[in-house]
Amino acid sequence: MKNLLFFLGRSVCHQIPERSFFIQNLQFPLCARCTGIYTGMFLSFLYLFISNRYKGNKPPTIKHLIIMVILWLPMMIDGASSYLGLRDTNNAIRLITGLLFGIFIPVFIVLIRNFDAKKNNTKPIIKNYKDIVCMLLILIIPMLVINLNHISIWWILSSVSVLTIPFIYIQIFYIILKNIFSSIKKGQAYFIASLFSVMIMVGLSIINKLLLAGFR
Amino acid sequence: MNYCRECGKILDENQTECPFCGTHLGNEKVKEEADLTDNMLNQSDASPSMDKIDNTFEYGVDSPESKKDYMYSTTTDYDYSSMGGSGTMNNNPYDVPASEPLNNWVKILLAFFTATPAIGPFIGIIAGIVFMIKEDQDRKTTGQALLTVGIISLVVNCCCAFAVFSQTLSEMSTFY
Repeated sequence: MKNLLFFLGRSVCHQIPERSFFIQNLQFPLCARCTGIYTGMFLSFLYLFISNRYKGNKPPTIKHLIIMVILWLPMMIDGASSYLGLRDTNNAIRLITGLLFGIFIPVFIVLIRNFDAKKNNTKPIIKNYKDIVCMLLILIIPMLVINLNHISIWWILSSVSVLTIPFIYIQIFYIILKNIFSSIKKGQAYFIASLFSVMIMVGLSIINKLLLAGFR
Repeated sequence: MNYCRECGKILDENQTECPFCGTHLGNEKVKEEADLTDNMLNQSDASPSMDKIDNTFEYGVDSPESKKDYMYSTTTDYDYSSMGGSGTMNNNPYDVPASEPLNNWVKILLAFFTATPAIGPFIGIIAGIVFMIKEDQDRKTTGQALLTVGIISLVVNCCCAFAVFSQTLSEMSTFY
């Protein structure tokens, strides 16, 4: 299971030890930033599902969109400035900026999944500022939990972050298939989307293993 | 009854400007045409086909006003892409399109920006949401397409970022 998590994680992440969290000398299968992004996405999907917004199809307002864009900026600035060598960053900053980046991406995935240009889209995904605040407050959980030096935390966070990757891929392929073949059945679309996702993840994981063979 | 010829909303008899879209009304002609349409609607009220339409399209309360709103807002759509534009135009009683269709060059340019690495996906997502909020179907469809491309581009960017990073590290190690 551990090897599977590392194999899947390798499809999107460099897994460099210096940029990853450790619990009891066990490295996470994703780097700090990727752990933040995909854990944020998972928590966002969870919130939308629990609050019954998973079927929402109304685009967020411009004001809500501006807030989301502002919350993307820290990761973009942190990533760009550290890669360019302008400043040093650390794993805590990578995790926090990654969480802020990932938390609102599912809103757009749910929107394109349910939006129908020919109909009135009246079910909001983000209803008001309270939703945004609630989503941001949820992010405190992984920030606090990652400091607990317990192996169960490793398993929970690793599984959640890594398994969100194929989930996102499947959703995106499902959207593409539904747009291209409007008559395709839901089950068929999900089956084909799953196959594509697995193929792409395996391919990317192998490529990454070859590229980064000397750095782990 | 008085109607706005631009947005089709029901107005008071004495209003000379639409409070919804700000269009100045040439009242005589509008009123005449609106009365003509009222007669048409009253005739269609008597027929069972209208009720069928209401049930099919779920336009809320079965009041005469909602039926009129329906007639003004979602009548038959025509594709006029052959005229150099794209998308659809509402065939409202005054033959005035709700808004100008989006220029094809704007669509191509936005799609190009969305597909570019790094900042591109964010441009696509923002432009997509801005268009999806609009009323006309052409902009909504374009917005949905831009948002889809933006999200795909974002995922591809995330995947490629590590590959570029890995490649850079490999080259650096070879150099040193």
